[in-house]
Amino acid sequence: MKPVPVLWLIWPLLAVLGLFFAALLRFADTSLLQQIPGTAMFEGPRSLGNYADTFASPLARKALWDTLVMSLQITGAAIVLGYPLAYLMARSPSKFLRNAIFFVLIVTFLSGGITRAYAWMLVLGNNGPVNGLLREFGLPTVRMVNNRTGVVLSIVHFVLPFFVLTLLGAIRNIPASLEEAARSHGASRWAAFRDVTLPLSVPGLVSASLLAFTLAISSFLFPLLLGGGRVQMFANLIYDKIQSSFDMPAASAMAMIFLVFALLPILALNLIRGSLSRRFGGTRR
Amino acid sequence: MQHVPDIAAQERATALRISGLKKSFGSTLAVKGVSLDLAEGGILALLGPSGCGKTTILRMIAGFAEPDSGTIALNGRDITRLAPEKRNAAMVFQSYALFPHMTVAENVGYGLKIRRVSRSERETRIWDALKLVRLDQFARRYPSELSGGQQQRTALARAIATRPDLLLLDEPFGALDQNLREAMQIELRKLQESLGLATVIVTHDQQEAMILADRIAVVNDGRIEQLSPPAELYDHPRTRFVAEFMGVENILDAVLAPGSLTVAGSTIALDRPPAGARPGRDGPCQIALRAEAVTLGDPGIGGIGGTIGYRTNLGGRVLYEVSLSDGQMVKVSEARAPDLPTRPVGQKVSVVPGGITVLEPAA
Repeated sequence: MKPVPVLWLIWPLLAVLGLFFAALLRFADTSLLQQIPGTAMFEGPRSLGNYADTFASPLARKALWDTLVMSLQITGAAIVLGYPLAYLMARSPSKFLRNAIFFVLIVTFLSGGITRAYAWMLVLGNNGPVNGLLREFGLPTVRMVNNRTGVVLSIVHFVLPFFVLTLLGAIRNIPASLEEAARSHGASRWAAFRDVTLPLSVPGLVSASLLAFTLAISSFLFPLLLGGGRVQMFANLIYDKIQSSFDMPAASAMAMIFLVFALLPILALNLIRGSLSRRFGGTRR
Repeated sequence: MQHVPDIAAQERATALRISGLKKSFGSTLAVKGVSLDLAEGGILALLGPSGCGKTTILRMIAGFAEPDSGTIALNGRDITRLAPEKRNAAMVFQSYALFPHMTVAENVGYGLKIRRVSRSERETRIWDALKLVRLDQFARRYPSELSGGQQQRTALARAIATRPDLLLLDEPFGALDQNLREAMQIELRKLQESLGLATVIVTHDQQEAMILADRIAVVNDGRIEQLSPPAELYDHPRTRFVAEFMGVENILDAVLAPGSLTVAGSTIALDRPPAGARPGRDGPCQIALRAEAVTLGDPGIGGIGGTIGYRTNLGGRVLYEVSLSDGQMVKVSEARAPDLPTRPVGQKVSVVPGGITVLEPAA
């Protein structure tokens, strides 16, 4: 039997990818059509009217802006909280500490979104343990649900395991002997980290941050449950457009705009990634 | 404890002094009380099989592992609990541990930059160090653009650029192929001598230790079994472990008496006590014999009687395996040349031992 040329194996793959992409194209095409008023149906002619309407809508502009700002805040928080965790997991001599961090992250990872959202509602609620503790000490209570605080907190919690596990691999790939070499040549613990491990972990940090940003910007469940209707992230706005106005073309247009905004930082980082890996090298020994 | 005092070393001041060093990992005792001195400008090898504790000793000197007890002093200063960066002891790692995101020049200048040496002074010293290891043409390259030998020399230049009080080398030639390794060993020895830099090198390769060190500490199971100059270690190992590790071919059961030695029923007269013999320690013992220090003669000339059991031609030498009457076997290595006759298998011979070393009984 003659071997099947390897190139033929690409066709099933292309078919699957094509199907996915066709769905997106159909959606893009829909964004150019118009809703038939009072129905869930839509018709031609094609125009950019939906895009103009979206950009003209203060509500949509605010949601887009808020979503971007919150996603950046969430990514920033993931870096601040996640880098030390990843570093400890990669470098701590204590096996117990490494396993403890891993366990806590994985439990978070495996519990479903709804479970976590309701858990956060209980913890952060006005009668929850956090405010209970504040009250105990005679401090004013803080409103943390049905506002941005709760939404951002819960999404940080959601993206943190993805961030830490991605970065962990990158830090683990940097030989510990590099830091030791720096120290043996006169660098303090901090200087060795700043001059060696930190720059070498930048490519991993970029990947982990991109992942965190992408997950954050497409949040839907947490703003829905913890935002109490007051926090509109863009995915929620699109959902409302379909579920309450049945305006599929307008929702498609918003989704396309949203896609572009989500892709921009990824494209930008991909463009500079070449110079990044040039500057920070591989972790070749 | 040394057999022959190293007079040259005693005249020089002590650079490194280690006393009673102990270290355990969990319930395993890795280093069980190690003491040694290293003179200024001296080079000491810690030689032993993997897992013997030699690397742990080096890491404690460097400051990457903290001893449970004992002290380490460098130039009279107690550094036992000092952070690695405050010891002024530069280490060259087995993997070289070059910073991949820095050029060769930046790597070599790293220790100087950290010490806030001025830019112009830094340039000069980077250049000097690179010239010493003949890498001045490669200053702007990145480590990934260098060959293994060049990476090794970069690591060495980085270590000497800071003018450390002590140079620590952890299996520095392990990753190089044989030819390059020997060239680099001799180069390192010359460099170390010209700089007069006190150096500790960890290796499992006895030949490397012989080439590089002026004293060798054989480490076994967390202890120093013998600390001697290379030639003495080679000729007169003190224990069976050292003898085997130094590649001594023959370790024989013998009986020692004043003025004589009996092996396999044959008694040889000795005009002076063999190396390692102690007064009052006569009786059954083990002796170490190098194959090249033993000669073969015809029966009756007064050696140990035996029969040639096997013969291997090694080119310039012939290796005989001689069976003794009690079943022990002696390896004998003799020079071979076209006009020299070799002995056939089955021939009765007399084994005349030379360089006999009496080994200490196992503890």
